[in-house]
Parts: sequence; structure tokens; C-alpha cells
Amino acid sequence: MAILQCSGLSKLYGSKKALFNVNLNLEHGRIIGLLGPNGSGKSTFLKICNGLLTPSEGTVLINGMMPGIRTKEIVSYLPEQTYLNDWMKVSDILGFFKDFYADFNIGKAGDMLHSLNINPNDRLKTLSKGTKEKVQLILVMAREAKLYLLDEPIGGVDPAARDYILNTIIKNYNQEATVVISTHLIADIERVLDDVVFLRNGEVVLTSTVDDIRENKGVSVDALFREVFKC
Amino acid sequence: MNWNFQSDRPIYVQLKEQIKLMIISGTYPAGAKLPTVRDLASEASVNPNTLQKALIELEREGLVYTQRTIGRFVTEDENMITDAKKELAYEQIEHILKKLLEMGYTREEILALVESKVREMK
Amino acid sequence: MLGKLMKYEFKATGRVFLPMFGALLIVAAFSRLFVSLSFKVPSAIGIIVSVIMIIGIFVMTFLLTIQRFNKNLLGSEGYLMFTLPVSTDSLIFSKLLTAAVWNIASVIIVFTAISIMAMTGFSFREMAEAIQRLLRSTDITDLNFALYVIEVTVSVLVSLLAGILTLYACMALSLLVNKHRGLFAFGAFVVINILLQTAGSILLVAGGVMNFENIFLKMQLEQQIHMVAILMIVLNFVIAGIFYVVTKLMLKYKLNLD
Repeated sequence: MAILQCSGLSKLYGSKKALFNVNLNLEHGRIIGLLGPNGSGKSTFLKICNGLLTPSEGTVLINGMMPGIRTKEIVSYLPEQTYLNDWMKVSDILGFFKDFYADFNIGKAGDMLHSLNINPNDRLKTLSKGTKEKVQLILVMAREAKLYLLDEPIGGVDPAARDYILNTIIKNYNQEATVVISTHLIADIERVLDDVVFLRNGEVVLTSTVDDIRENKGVSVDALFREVFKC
Repeated sequence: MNWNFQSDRPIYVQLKEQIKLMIISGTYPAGAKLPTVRDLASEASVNPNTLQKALIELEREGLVYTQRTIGRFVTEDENMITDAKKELAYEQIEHILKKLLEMGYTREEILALVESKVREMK
Repeated sequence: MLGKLMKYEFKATGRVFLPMFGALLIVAAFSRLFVSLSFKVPSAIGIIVSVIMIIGIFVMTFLLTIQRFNKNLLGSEGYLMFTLPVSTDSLIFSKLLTAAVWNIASVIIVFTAISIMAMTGFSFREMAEAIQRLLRSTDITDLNFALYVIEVTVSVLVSLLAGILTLYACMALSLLVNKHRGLFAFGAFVVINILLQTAGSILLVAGGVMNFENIFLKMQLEQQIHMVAILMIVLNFVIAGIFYVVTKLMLKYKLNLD
């Protein structure tokens, strides 16, 4: 059974189509790039999968279940926004995750903080924006989840941190899990992807494996992306 | 090891070539244990699935074998590695030869050129 | 999970309330000390500061009740809260119960501070005895006293919950608009209050039509008190229920975080 199935999924805001008739089956053990320009519906799709938005039409099933408490237990979500509050210390938010997520590996999180030289006793309020994003990624990747939904994980960070983030993703996901990475920076992540889904104006315009694109079209995903989304 | 990938060919093919080169050049000698898929993948910053695919291809060619639960090893058959090395060398030579012939050199001239260049290197 | 949510809710709010409560009690204690030592200027200052702090505590209690819901659920922190494996009910209840506890605690602390400052001294026991004396003087038996206390307490609690839920519902209703949510929530609050007033008036008129007034006036005082208390509890319970459902439905189906 696919870890994520959606059929006829649409989200309309008045007459504006944020998502339209999306049909997808994402398999276990894959790293999938959700690619599209800004405003193509990537975040909307991920929000619906997390139960943060209600679809206008169609359904999403995660491990066969509608988004709800049971799916939130197995989905690890990195939103685009920073959601850290201003009163906790880094160690407090680790404790918070431990309290609520049975699959949170606090030892792993501690190791990652250490390797990034982030002090667990720092207050979240005092962290720079980049450090906050790293802390959030650590929280998300230290869970042993079945499905990781990462919204623009490499969007706002410098190239060195980008490499670290990609390596963190590669190292920490187990091979049964599926990772969905939404981004418009394709060249940087192409080598970690198995499959790609292209979104344009809320509609899926292409789903393929990366190998197929390179083998059959003889171009990189990045080049294909530029061609498909040429202005 | 520097991992470089061209953008127009599948990554697993390029990974296969580069790992093969490491075996031939002795980075991983005959009988040596290869790093885990996860470690290699993280070193090359590629998807573990892609790396797995490259290793399976190498297994099919016989250069690498899996011992259940212990890990992956380079073949102990030195001849096989020598063959692979030779094969790769031929590939490169053919590549150059083709170019030189296109340039209009004769076989004798090419041999002389190669000989003098090799001497020079010493 | 409700317990865990409340643990963090108390941690997040306690670090504001506890120092505030502590400060008020200390200032109140010093004011009393200055008064009893007849230091005129310091005692005047102490009393003024205490009064300002008391007002401050009530304002802060009100603002935090709003802010914990608005910021933690409807702001960017909502991304964390709504992806926890907990029900929407638990989220609302954790906020509601914690806010109710702090509202009650604020009142108790302010009473304590006032009783510290008051020269004659003030005790809950004396107040209870005074009420009891008052009730005795009106033919109300000792036996029923406990019942009155329970009725009044429940009535106050339910109306507190109804009040907090009204605020939550107004904020949750602001999910219907994309811009100026604060203004919308305030507008919703005004409109809801007008509606509640109107509904109240209609009920009164309806009561008048049904000659309820005469029936009421013929009752004994004892029954009248019971009547009013139970009526208040039922009405506030209905209001609380309606706004709880509104809040829950909005959070479940109309959530739209920026």
C-alpha cells in the first residue's frame, strides 16, 4: 500500500484554484521532490496532508487513513514558517517533542545539535533565523517517522548549511520511510531524489523517476524543470 | 574521493563508474569491505536508493558481492579486477584513438607519438 | 494528552503570572508595614502601586487569555500545535481550563493582597460567617447553606467558562477572513454581545408574557435564589456549549494558518 494516496484533490479559494484534481501515489522508501515555482500549490498540498487545511474536493490517505491524530503520529512535518515559541530553551522543545511524539529519538537530536554547535541551553528567542530553521529540521528529522513532509527545507539557508541539511536528511531517514521535499531549488537536491512531481498552477504536470528523465530525455531534472516552466 | 556528477546521465550509472574506479585504483582492494550504503550515500551526498542501485549493478557484474548480514565486499578474484581495469583502459584508449584518427594521424604515427610521450613522462 | 498540553500551558503562562502575583503580594505587604509604622509618603506610594498592579493583573489576565489562544493556535505556533497527535478538543480544553485557573487565581491573589493591606484585616472565614449570618437573618436554614454555596460557585465557574469561550469563538470566527483578523474578532465580539443582550431581553419579555414575574414574586426568597442560580447556570452552560462548538468547528474545518 502506498504511504500517501490522493485522488481528485482540489483546494479552491473562491474561483482561485490553489490545487486542482491532484492524483498521486507515493510509495514507501522513496525520496520525492515536489517541484514547482512559488505559488504552484506545494505548501497547500503539504498543509492538506497535515490536516492544517481541509480540501475542497477529493481525499488524501496517509497509510490508508484520513489526516487526523493517527496520521500525525507517523508524519513528521517541517513547515516553511518557523513555529518555535519565544519562551522555551532548545532543551525544552526537545522535551516537548519527546512528550508528544512516541517516535522522537532525543539522543539523535542531541547529537545533531552538538554537531551543529547549538547549545541546548540557549533560549529559542535568542537564536538567529538560520539557527531556528536548523533546530526545526533537527526536531523533524530526529523523529523515526514513516513519512517526512519537508516544505522548502533548503529555501533560506546558505550553501554550506544546505549540504548539511541534505546530508541530515539522507542519514536520518530509514529506508522504509518516505521523504517528500518541496522546493524550487532543484539543482541542489537533484542527486538525493528518487522521484519528482512537477506542480504548475495547482495541477500535476509530470511525475517521473529522476533516472527516467536522465536516461530517456538525456537532461537533468533541473534542465527539464527550466524547460517546462519557461516563462 | 571527489564525487562529481554530470547532469545529463543517470546518477546511478555515474556512481557505478566511480565506485568501479575506486576498486580498480585500489582505494578498495580485492576482498575489502565496502562502507555501508548509508555511509557511502552520505559521503557522495546522494540518495541511498540510488547508491544501492549502483551497487546492485556492480554485483551483477561480479565486482562486488554481498555477504548476508555482514555487508558488501569487493570480489576476491584479482583477475576480475585486472580485467575490469583493462577494460576501462581499452575504453579510454579507444576514445583517444578515435579522436586521433579523425585528426588524420596514421597508426604508425600514433604509436610513435604515444611512445615519445610516455618516455617524456619519465 | 490533555494533561501534557496543560503542563506546557501552565509553564508558558506561569512564568508571567507567578512573578506578577509574587510582586503584588510583596508590595502589599510592604504597604501594610509602612502604614502600621505611619510612614505617610511610602505607604501612600505603596497603596497606589498596589492598586496599579491590581488593575495590571486583571488586564494581563484578560490579555493572556486572548493571547495564548490567538498566538499559540492561530499564529505561526499553530503549525506546531495542530500537527501534534492530539484532538482539537484537547487543544481547546487545555487553553480553556488553564485560562480559567489563572482567572480564578488572579481574583484570589487580589483579594489576598487587599486583605493584607486593609488595616482591619480580612479573612475568607469572616466573610463566610458574615454571609451565613445574613442568610440566617432571612430564615434560610443552615442545611441549605452548602447548596447555595455550590450553586453560586458553579454559576460563577460556568459564566467564567462561557466568557472565555466567547472570546475564543470570536477569534476562531476571524479565520473566515484573510486580513484584519484582529478587527474582525473585535467586531464579532461586539455583535455577539449585542445578540446576547437582545436574546436576554426577549427572554425577559417572554417571561413577562407568560406571567413569570408574578409566579416568581410569589415564591419564597429561598426558592427565588435557587431559581436565579439555576437559571444562570443553564443559560451560561448553553452559551458556553454554543461557543465551544463554534470554536471547534472553525479550528477543524476553517483553519488557515499564514
